[in-house]
Amino acid sequence: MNIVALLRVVDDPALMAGIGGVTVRLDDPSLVAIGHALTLRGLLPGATIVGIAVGPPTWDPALKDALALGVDSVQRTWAELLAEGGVVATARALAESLPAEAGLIVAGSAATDHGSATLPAALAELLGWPLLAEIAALEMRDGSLAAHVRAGGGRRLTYAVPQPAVLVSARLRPPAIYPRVRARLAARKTMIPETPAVSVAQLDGAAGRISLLDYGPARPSTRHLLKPSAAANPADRIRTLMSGGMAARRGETLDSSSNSGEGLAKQLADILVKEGFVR
Amino acid sequence: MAERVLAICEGDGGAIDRRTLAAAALAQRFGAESVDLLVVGAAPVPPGRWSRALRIDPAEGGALTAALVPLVTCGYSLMMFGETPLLREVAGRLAGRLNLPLVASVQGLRQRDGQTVASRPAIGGARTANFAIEGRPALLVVHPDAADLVPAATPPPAYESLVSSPVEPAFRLLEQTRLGPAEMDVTEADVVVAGGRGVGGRDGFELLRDLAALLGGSIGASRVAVDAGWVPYTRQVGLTGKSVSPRLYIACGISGAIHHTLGMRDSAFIVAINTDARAPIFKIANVSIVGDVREVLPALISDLRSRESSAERVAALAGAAR
Repeated sequence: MNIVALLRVVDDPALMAGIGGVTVRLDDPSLVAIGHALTLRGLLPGATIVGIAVGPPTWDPALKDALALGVDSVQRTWAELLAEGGVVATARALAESLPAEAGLIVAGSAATDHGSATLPAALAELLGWPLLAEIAALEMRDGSLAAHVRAGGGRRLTYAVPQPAVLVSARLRPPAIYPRVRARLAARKTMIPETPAVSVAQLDGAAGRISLLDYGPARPSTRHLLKPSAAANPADRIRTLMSGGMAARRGETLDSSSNSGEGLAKQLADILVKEGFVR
Repeated sequence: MAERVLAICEGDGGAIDRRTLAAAALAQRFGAESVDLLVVGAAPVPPGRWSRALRIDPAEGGALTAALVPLVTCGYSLMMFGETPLLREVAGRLAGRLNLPLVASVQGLRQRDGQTVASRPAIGGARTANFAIEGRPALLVVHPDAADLVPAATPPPAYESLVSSPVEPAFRLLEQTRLGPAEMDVTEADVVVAGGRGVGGRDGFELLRDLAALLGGSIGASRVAVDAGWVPYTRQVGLTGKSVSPRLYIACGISGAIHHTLGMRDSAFIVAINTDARAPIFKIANVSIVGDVREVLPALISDLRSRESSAERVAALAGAAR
């Protein structure tokens, strides 16, 4: 059985000083996907991991890192049309290039589709496979595979995982796995095969209806940090900006000068009950 | 082009999930011919100029996708999804199933030279990529920071309910557990009880842990508490820690330096407890308590416990009476 890990490579200018001038690396969600795939290989005897990426040949040095980390083989699919980032076109390219006997597809929280995190779902639909998202951990339970899924409010749901299936990780920190020097040297000598891309005509149907016009400047990040509410009046908006995002809320003050600790606690408990935080 | 837009948000029982409001806001700001609102889950209709307000019960991604397929043929030219794991999954599934164009993490939408143009971050956020959307209907997943909802003077329409047909779940649920305050990640908690210098030490954090356990929440901390070694770095909230937006944030002995408040100011309801009446945290608190954490918290915990046990007694008596 093949476990397929979806891989994505990103530019990292911090790697400029790296060996050979390589400035690309696997992104964090891909490392999480590799971590889950390695866990699955340990749980499912005889399974092998195939890493698949949809990207240009410049990704190869980073994809070799996946081999060094323990992925059994890596393949890359590419067509110029895919550069525009159409989710369905990318999903189609992946579906076409899946290896035989693929039983489980593992993706990070933002997979190989320019980080949109919608690709695994589109891929699952194209393949007709079930999809389980927000996976925090995998284990064997009573002889079959089980996945722990993050649900809201700190709940954990444990599901039995059938095969085939698409598994999407929760947003996790990359696992602490590092390649051995010998594995890294061996991986460097390996060629990453480019699997035949699906015909552009076939991709046209999906990708042609979104076209990349141009690139513009990035949105200033301060906008996110100090953004005043659009619904606020001009005075409040200015006050929000001037206060570094700390605009006052119209709150209630309970003062200990007129109340004991117990009195304050009782008032607070009443408020928490009234607001529905305590049932 | 006259666009008919469907904005899809998620409700969490009491209100619309804040991350998904941006989809509704961007749809309104775009100036479409009409904007319908669909809420997945229970929440009051948010204020806004909606032509129709629809509601559907939350369901697993596959079932929800099946329920939304008929809407695609209703003449909507754009379907704008809020950015939550469930809605992202549904958007991806719909795109794959019906071969529809999809743009994710949309931060802007406008008309340019007669074309509808969506923009989203590219090259690791260093640039913005502008896409012309030619196919219709098209699906957009909207970034939570894309726009803010502007309240409308007109009262919102009443909900019309959509019915989803039951779908056999693909994955069998084996177990459901709830994590304690120490295991629950601070970013996924509905309630965060956070402590700072005013908590006084590790023992003080035991009180916070007890309160978080009672409220079903997690533990957070300011940088001072983390630097002092009272709690691990994974609990740090703020600019150099994690950003949280729980329903309830209780700040205990935290002064409210900007580095901390930038990580928690989006919390829906903030309670601040501090001995210093001029602490900046009080500016953003819904409830400000000028008092000592070590006096207020034990009394609060004991009060909540007595309420809990009396509620259990009432439930037991009601059960016995039946």
